[in-house]
Amino acid sequence: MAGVSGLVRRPLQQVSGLLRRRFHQTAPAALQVTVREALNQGMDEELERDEKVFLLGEEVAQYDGAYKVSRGLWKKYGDKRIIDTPISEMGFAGIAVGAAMAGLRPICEFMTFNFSMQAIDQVINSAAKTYYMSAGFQPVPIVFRGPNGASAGVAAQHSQCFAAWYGHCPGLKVVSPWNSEDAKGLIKSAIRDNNPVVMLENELMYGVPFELPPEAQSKDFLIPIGKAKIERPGTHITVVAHSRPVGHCLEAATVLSKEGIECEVINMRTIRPMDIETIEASVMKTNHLITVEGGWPQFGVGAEICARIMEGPAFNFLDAPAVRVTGADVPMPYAKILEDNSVPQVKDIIFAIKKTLNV
Amino acid sequence: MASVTCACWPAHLGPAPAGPLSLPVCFPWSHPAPLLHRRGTRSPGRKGLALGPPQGSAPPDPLSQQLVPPPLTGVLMYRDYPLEQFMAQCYGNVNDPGKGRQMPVHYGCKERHFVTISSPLATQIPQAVGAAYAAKRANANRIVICYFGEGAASEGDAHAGFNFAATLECPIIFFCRNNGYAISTPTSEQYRGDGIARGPGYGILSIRVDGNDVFAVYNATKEARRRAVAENQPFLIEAMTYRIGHHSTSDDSSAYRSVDEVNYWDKQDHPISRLRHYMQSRGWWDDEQEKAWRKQSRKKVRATSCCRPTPQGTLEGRRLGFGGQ
Repeated sequence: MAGVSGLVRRPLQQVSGLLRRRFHQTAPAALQVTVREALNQGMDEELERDEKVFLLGEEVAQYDGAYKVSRGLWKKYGDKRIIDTPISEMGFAGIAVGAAMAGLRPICEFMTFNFSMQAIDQVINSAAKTYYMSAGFQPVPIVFRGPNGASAGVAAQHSQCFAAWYGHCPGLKVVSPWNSEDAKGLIKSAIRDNNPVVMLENELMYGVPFELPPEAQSKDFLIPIGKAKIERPGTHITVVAHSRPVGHCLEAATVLSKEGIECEVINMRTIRPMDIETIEASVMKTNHLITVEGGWPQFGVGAEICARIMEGPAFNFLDAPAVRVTGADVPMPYAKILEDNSVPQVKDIIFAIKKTLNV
Repeated sequence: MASVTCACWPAHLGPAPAGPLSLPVCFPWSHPAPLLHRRGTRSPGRKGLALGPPQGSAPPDPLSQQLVPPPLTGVLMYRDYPLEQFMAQCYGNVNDPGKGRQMPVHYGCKERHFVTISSPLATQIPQAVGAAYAAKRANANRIVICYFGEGAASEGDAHAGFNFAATLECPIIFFCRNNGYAISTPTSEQYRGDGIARGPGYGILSIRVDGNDVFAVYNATKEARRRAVAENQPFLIEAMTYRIGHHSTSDDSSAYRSVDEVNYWDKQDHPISRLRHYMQSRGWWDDEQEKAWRKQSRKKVRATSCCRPTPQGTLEGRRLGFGGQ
């Protein structure tokens, strides 16, 4: 009896519900995702999407990656797609380049970019130059990725920043993510790009969580290579950075905001091809510029930005010379007090901003 | 006294030399052992390797090391590098001769001919060959001994180093500690040939020894040294051992190997235990002395490591890094 009456009642309820109903879509909540997880997700999605994609490097398979960035991937994709290599950077970089030339899409992981120096001929002379040297016949769709720049307490041979080295070379694309959104969008774009892409990650950022906006949770979320992002709009000074220093610049901007100085913080995201237009437009608005990087000053990223600003329309809008904030011009020392004073800190950024603004 | 024979001594190298079995020889070997152990180094196999070679090579021979040198700490210890200096280097404090520049365990000592540890793997191999070449040119009657692990032998630099040592006829001993693992990578994934005793492919006389047998290691190294100087040619020694400890403090090796496997080597084939048993069987050592010496070692290590590190390197010191500008 109850069942029949339910049947009778339900259609009425449904009709009235229909009359009342609007389309309702719950927006996916913004997730807290660490940079490591974002990289992992990005690689996982691309491995799933295209079976030509594979990952090779030291400890990437069963060990889940030296920094656990490839956690779970070997379990999911197996030996054919996630490959542990013997300890020979020159060897496995060369193998990856060959595989790319033959039509696969390798992701070649360097345990840190310091060790890429043992493979640098393969990266530059083979990966970077081949498309040009072959007059466009032979693409090399490879991604070289790994942690770059200073970590903590790992001294000279583990702390060098290679943004300037790789950014120097035509034929390479070079990206440098700061937060999780950057990491996910850029790794996916890098893997889909038919050019060799060097992705400079940062070990200290791997464990840092960021809110991943809804659009970044889509499997087709890509960040275009060659486009910078204005993380914080401002009016008094343009502050340009890449990788971890972007966070320091935002901290500095927060402090200075209380003093009435509004900084426009630009996250480069890509080192090469550099998005100089975004920087120029900003400088033409603020009339002041500082650059911030972890790498050494000579021939660095900041040096290139300053040169290009001088060569372009924004020069005439500068009210003061541009200033570079960089790592100290020494091999990274080990002792903590020495190390802390060898990398740009928030106070150094604030000092440079105030000096440029003459306040 | 019966002579000690090395199990895999190739006949064409002549009769195996007898090991020195006397107390005065064994005692200095046994003493650094507890000090190494107390410092938390966990690869006894590699300790055997550390203590064997130094006596085989006369003190002035330069040593070229690879990173991850806890076992080679024994070599430096054997050359009387003070415990305080080990600690100062690890802390990077004001007593550190390296002025806080280097990561911990990156020891170096010019006086003791111990080339500073460098992080990138296998780069020391061609460098060692170059140093040996220089020694040959100088008619110095010295050799270079170069240590590396079986993982580092995969690097291209190892190939280049071996080839140059042979073609340039350099007085060098390549000493490979094959301990079964490079972080988590087992030897089955590191190489498919017959271990690292691949010297014959380069024209280098090679020998494989039981790395946990101090006498075997000593004998092999001593003979290799004698011949390297006399004949100006390289030798390759592959010492088979086992890494009992984790790769580093951030590693948990139970993720990639069984606890049973580790226990076997710890209990059944531990170089320090083997030496101790030998000495005890000769009546040169007993449990009482073992206990007392361990206590003394612990005290020694605590004395150096418990004092608060003195102020770390100054910024003044840092500016020295500007290379004279």
